[in-house]
Amino acid sequence: MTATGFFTDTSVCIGCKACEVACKQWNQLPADGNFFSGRSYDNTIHLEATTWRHVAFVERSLQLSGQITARPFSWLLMSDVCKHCKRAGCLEACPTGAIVRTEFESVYVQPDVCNGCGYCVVCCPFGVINRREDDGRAWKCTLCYDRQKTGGEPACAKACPTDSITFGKLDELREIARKRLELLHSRGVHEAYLYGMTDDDQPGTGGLHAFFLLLDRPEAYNLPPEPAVPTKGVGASWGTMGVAAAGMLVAAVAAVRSVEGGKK
Amino acid sequence: MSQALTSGLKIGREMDPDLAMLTGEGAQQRVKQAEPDAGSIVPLWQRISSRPAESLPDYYRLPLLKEPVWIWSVPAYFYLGGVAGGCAVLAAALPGKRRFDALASWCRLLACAGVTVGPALLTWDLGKMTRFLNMLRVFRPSSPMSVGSWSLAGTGMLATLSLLLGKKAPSSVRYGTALGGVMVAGYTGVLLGNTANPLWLEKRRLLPPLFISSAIASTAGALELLPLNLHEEKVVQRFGMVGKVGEAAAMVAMERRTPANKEAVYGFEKGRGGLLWNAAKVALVAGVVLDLIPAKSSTRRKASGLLTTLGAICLRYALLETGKDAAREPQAVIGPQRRRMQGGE
Amino acid sequence: MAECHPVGFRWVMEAKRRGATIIHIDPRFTRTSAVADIHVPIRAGSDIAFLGALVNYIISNDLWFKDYVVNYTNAAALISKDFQDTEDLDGLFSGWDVEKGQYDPASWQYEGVEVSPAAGHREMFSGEPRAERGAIIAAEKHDYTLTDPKCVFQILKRHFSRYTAEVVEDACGISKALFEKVARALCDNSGRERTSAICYAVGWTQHTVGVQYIRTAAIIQLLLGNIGRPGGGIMALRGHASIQGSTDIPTLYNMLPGYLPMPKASYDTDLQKYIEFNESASGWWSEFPKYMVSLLKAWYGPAATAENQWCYDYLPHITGDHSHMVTVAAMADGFVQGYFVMGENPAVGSMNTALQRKGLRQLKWLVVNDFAPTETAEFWRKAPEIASGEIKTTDIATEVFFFPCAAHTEKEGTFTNTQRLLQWRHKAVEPPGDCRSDLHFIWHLGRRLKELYRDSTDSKDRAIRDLTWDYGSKGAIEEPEAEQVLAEINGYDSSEQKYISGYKELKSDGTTICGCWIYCGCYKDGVNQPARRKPASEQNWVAPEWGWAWPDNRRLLYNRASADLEGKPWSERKKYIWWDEEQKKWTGYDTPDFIVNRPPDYRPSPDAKGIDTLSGIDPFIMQAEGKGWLYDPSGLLDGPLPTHYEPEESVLKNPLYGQQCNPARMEWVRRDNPYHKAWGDSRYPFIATTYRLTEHHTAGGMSRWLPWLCELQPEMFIEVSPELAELRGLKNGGWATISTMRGEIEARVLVTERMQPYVQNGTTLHTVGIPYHWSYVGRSRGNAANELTAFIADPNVSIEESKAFSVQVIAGRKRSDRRAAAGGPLNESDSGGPERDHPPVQEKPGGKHGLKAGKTELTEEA
Ligand SMILES: Nc1nc2c(c(=O)[nH]1)N[C@H]1C(S)=C(S)[C@@H](COP(=O)(O)OP(=O)(O)OC[C@H]3O[C@@H](n4cnc5c(=O)[nH]c(N)nc54)[C@H](O)[C@@H]3O)O[C@H]1N2
Ligand SMILES: Nc1nc2c(c(=O)[nH]1)N[C@H]1C(S)=C(S)[C@@H](COP(=O)(O)OP(=O)(O)OC[C@H]3O[C@@H](n4cnc5c(=O)[nH]c(N)nc54)[C@H](O)[C@@H]3O)O[C@H]1N2
Ligand code: SF4
Ligand code: SF4
Ligand code: SF4
Ligand code: SF4
Ligand code: SF4
Ligand SMILES: [Mo]
Repeated sequence: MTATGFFTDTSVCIGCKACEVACKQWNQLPADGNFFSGRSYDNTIHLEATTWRHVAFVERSLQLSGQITARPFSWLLMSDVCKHCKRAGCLEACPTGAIVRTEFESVYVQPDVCNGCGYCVVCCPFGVINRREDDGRAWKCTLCYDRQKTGGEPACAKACPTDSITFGKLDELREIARKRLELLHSRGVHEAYLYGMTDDDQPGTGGLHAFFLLLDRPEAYNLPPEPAVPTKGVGASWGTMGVAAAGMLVAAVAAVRSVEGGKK
Repeated sequence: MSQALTSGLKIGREMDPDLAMLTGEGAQQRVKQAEPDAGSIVPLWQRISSRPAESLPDYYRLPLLKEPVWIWSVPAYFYLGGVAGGCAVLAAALPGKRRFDALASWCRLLACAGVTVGPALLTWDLGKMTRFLNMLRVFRPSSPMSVGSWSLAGTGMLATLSLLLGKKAPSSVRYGTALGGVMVAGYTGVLLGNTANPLWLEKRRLLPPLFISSAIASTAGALELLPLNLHEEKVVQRFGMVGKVGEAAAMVAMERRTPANKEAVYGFEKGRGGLLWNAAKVALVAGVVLDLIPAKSSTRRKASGLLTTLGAICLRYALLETGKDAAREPQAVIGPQRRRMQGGE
Repeated sequence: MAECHPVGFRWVMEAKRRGATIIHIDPRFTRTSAVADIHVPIRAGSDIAFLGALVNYIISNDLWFKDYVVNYTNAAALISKDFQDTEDLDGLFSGWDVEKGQYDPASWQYEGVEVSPAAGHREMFSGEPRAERGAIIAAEKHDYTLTDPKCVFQILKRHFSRYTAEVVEDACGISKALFEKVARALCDNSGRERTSAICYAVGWTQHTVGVQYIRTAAIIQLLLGNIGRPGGGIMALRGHASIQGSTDIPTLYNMLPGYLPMPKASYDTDLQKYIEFNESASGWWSEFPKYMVSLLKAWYGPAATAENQWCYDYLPHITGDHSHMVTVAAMADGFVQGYFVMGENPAVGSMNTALQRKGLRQLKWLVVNDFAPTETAEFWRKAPEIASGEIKTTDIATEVFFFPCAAHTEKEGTFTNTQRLLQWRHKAVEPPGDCRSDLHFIWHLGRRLKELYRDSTDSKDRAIRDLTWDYGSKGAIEEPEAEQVLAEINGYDSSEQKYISGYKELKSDGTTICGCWIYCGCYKDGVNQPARRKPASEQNWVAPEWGWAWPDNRRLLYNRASADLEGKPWSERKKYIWWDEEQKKWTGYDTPDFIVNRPPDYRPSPDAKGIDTLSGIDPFIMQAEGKGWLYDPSGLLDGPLPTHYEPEESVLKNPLYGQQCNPARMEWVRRDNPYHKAWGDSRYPFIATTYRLTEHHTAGGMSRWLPWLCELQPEMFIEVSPELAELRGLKNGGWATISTMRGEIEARVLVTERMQPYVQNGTTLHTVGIPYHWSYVGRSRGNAANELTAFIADPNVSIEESKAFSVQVIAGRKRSDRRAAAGGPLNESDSGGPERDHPPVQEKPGGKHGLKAGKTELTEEA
């Protein structure tokens, strides 16, 4: 099977949240409660164990190039989701093998295997996956594995009226994204860039299967600027542990020897 | 309507005007209660124009990462695992002489207790007892938790065997337990270091030595509380001293902030994490000071043991709390990554 | 549009991808602005000044589309010598009757002839109909050089000459530079090669001058040649699903299916008179009798004969204005006994909800047919005045019946969307419990009524006894066959025993039956045309085989205008339909909206009648003279040309004229509907505008019960600029109390730079943005915005003014000792306020628009 994924083009997102609701409905996820956040129109605030799509509303006192407004202001809208990382922190960390890479090369949590250890939660460099309070297991976007299985399109992409969320084969998406970027640049929208499309863009994760076209720095949308799968460089930890472990053994032997030696 | 609902009579869509809930389709919808009206809702909105115009530093100061979800039992396990590991090692290092018998059997007992109660605590966090078994479905070298689980399971068996066989345990079992013990004591450091948590990530090289040295100190601290003979005491004290010094050094290094990681390494001064961290520091130093008093008294020894134990426990909780703090602070993620990017450019 | 029509907005985004420029004109920076190329923050209620300035810009810079304007519009027509403009009368047109408080439009007519408007005319409210309206339009006088001072073009030019960029700055708060950018973008994108579309919804309609807003847009589009051409037009983005359908086959009191006017009691006394007053000697309305007779045949079947005037007398005849607010005011005064509320939630969605509930309390019985027990169904035990104890449930005698309805997924039928497209919807699931479709409710109600009157000999009951009501039904719940209803709407030729395939086949001899003439053809050949779903890739880009559009499956109205005088497309890029010289007929991608074999060079002879009066260059075939109206000689109650008037309650004195407000507006001067001063009321210093959020739907019956939507917008809030927040000490996330004379509500505060103050003539004007979705039942509850609004309306269509009024805002929650909304003024009214009308209207107050308004003589009590 070829890898599938999302290209989310934030330059045409209208913040309608249809994706958020479609995801909740398809996956029968509960609402997270009525919470007025006062942060623009964003009242769900972040991706959660029960919110697998989340639309960010970025209000900035800054003009977007190519846009004419009465005062310097722009409103960036962006629908966030699990990135289905090429190298996924959650997957590499999962001790039970609950998180697997599917035939669509997406990152999928098998609910019947997850034991709720919560390790994936701290290992996702995007703060995506989380443990549900009620059932104690970890949940996140499945890239609609069930729908894909039957040839369907993920619910969120299907619901997206402007095709800000485009679902498809990864290599085709990359082509679309490159063309779109070129077009935007040619129209003077110089801020536009692709976030995490390939290994080159984001070596830390090897590229994302859900990548984005953004109009401000990643952190404006609550995305990490330079994320990396934790497993990268963990050798150093094991190394220092080895040294320390050796130290421990030596210390134990030395402690015993010093007492024993004193006796002799 | 409400009456119809309670009487079970179906008249329509059964929407209860009081609950505004649907029965039937969508009935499984549980909505969390709205947060209390109080300050929590009132957000940190600032006049956005006061932000530097060229960029937004973050998204309404909301956390970028998820906090660790672990509950109290996990740091408790970290502590027990450390003690177990230290005891296993010490047990193996002790010569089979009679004057060390008491210490050796304490060590075997603690090692065994540690690696059996530890998983129980872990499982407590999981919510369901059988869930721990899922850990043993696969072995995943990329996951320190997987490595740790297998170590824990293996060490558990070996430590139990050691305990049962006592002095008669073959050296393969003894040394095996010791090796497992080192793993159990140390992998937790790697486990934290192998996360995306900005604090733990920044200090990923330091965490294993910190855990191991603290495991040594905790082992000594625990053993100091037990009735031991003079030789044994000496062994324990010397072993412990190495750990305590190591732990102190590692803690100092942990606290060190560099311009590169300044936002990530900040939780040691404030909040619950800071309090615990400082308590750990004070207890550790106090324990060492007591240790250095030349007078021989079991009270002094016990007091030192107690302080060390307390310090070691506080340390584990402090690490979890400061980790949570770091995850809550978006700049802890953004700052270091940005600088790394700029450095790389 | 992105906020309220996100799915339709898909195509706007598609256009943007292809390089279209999107201009958004809105007081607030919304989701639409977020992706627009230009956002123009306009002071709510000032669009005519802005659009008028565009007209002026187009004319004075000579950017209008000459061939189009001269030939396809009424620019050349000469207007009556008696006509006087607002320029001459300081904001009034000629014909103003001070006594009656309304216009006599006689002086607005073309010189020498009288014409009537294309649809839904309401002359009953502006005087008696004129018998001579059937006159031959060829008698109309013209000056095709457009230089005669009495010609429409010159009048237009004079009228709009004072609408300058400076005026835009003063009236709308839009800088000259920004205005010019918009003007240039629009004009650059119009002409032979390019077209621009204007989309609007209730941000334009909900004003006392709403109809004139759209008129101004129509003038712009006609001047630029943007009507009847692909990519052009004016798109009314409609509200509820099939709200278009509910004007085509109306739920409106003053219209019959297909925009045939409802008979008026006072003068449509028999069919002959009715037809005489409504048919037109020229243009398409000359076919009027065919439509009417076929409709009566559909309703009364064999009982309808030529002898009994096809049962014309069975139809109810209206006696006055029975629109919503008029009825509710009458209800509050005790004139209405029973009320059906089906698919509406007036206790939240309608103006002055305290008055709405007062009306409900006076009823004997109320039937609510809805998914959820809405505020309207629960007013007797959950309303604020009940909660506060001001009114006791035990004192309310209204008997409330609640009928649960089926959702759109639980029934079949059509939706007619904004572009007149009918799309068939299949049933997905059975409705639960006692939930039933509206069709079920009405059909079975009708059946029971017929049963009740079966043996009656009383002649007045014949209207029910003779009604054809023979649809089949199916299933355990006896659901009527919706497709049979569609077939009846399409029409049937009883002499030829076949379904009618288009309205041209209708006859006035009683051999054809048709439920709605404009829908003729939707069941052509016995095939459910709206159910067609041929993919776009398998047909041309107009996609004529997807669903079915009225009339005649025409996707673009007046599309003759897409070709030039000779019938050739104005441009190759924009070709749509054209004259095929070889075949001698009009052809193209769409069904031509023209007489198919009428050559472009056809000119009517002076004695031509009916549709023969339409020449080969008259694209606007529904108009009597086939031209697009830059100037309205008839049909509007508030003037032939748009004029900027301030809202009923404004923060500004009208910067253009002495006349402050639309003189013809509908007012309800009564204690339970008090108004603020016309402008500068220091107690209510801020502009308020109300609107929707994507996350909720209208009065909330469909959205505030759904946890998934509630979590997205969980609480009632208002939006204010940082400047206003600072001025009034409002904190983001905190509370504010908003008040008018009508009521007082509390809401959370969202401080945002998406709201911005306007500096006009040196004063800073602040706007408070108020979403109107919340009220007292549902999963997410809050105070209702419409506690604040007043009964006040546009005279032409009785649409309320909820988009611009004045309010006060203070920090903090509503004080508990303040009265809950029960009707009656919150403050002493200030009678010393500035004048609204100039010259003062003598009789304006006194419930001009109540049931007893007496615009036409009432023949009976309600
Ligand atoms: N999600 C959602 N979609 C809906 C609905 C819903 O409730 N929720 N309702 C449906 C219905 S019934 C309707 S009628 C449509 C309405 O669709 P819209 O007309 O788009 O809806 P509103 O939000 O009421 O008003 C539109 C805008 O008008 C602006 N406005 C206010 N005053 C003025 C003014 O004087 N001039 C100008 N230029 N703009 C002004 C407001 O700021 C607001 O942004 O939407 C339909 N679609
Ligand atoms: N302040 C202010 N007030 C406004 C507006 C504004 O912009 N500002 N906008 C105005 C506009 S444009 C509109 S359209 C009105 C809307 O106001 P309303 O029409 O009063 O409000 P809705 O909530 O749309 O009511 C529709 C009801 O129909 C029910 N319903 C849905 N489907 C069916 C069905 O198939 N059968 C039956 N029987 N019921 C069904 C729904 O549950 C809902 O309760 O509000 C108006 N009020
Ligand atoms: S974004 Fe996080 S949860 Fe999603 S695949 Fe990557 S690491 Fe896993
Ligand atoms: S919580 Fe579940 S999915 Fe996450 S790491 Fe643990 S077992 Fe794997
Ligand atoms: S792909 Fe499916 S699970 Fe993932 S966000 Fe979209 S709808 Fe939700
Ligand atoms: S559905 Fe599409 S347009 Fe709407 S918020 Fe989601 S991504 Fe944006
Ligand atoms: S709610 Fe329905 S009508 Fe409105 S945009 Fe969505 S799909 Fe279209
Ligand atoms: Mo509407």
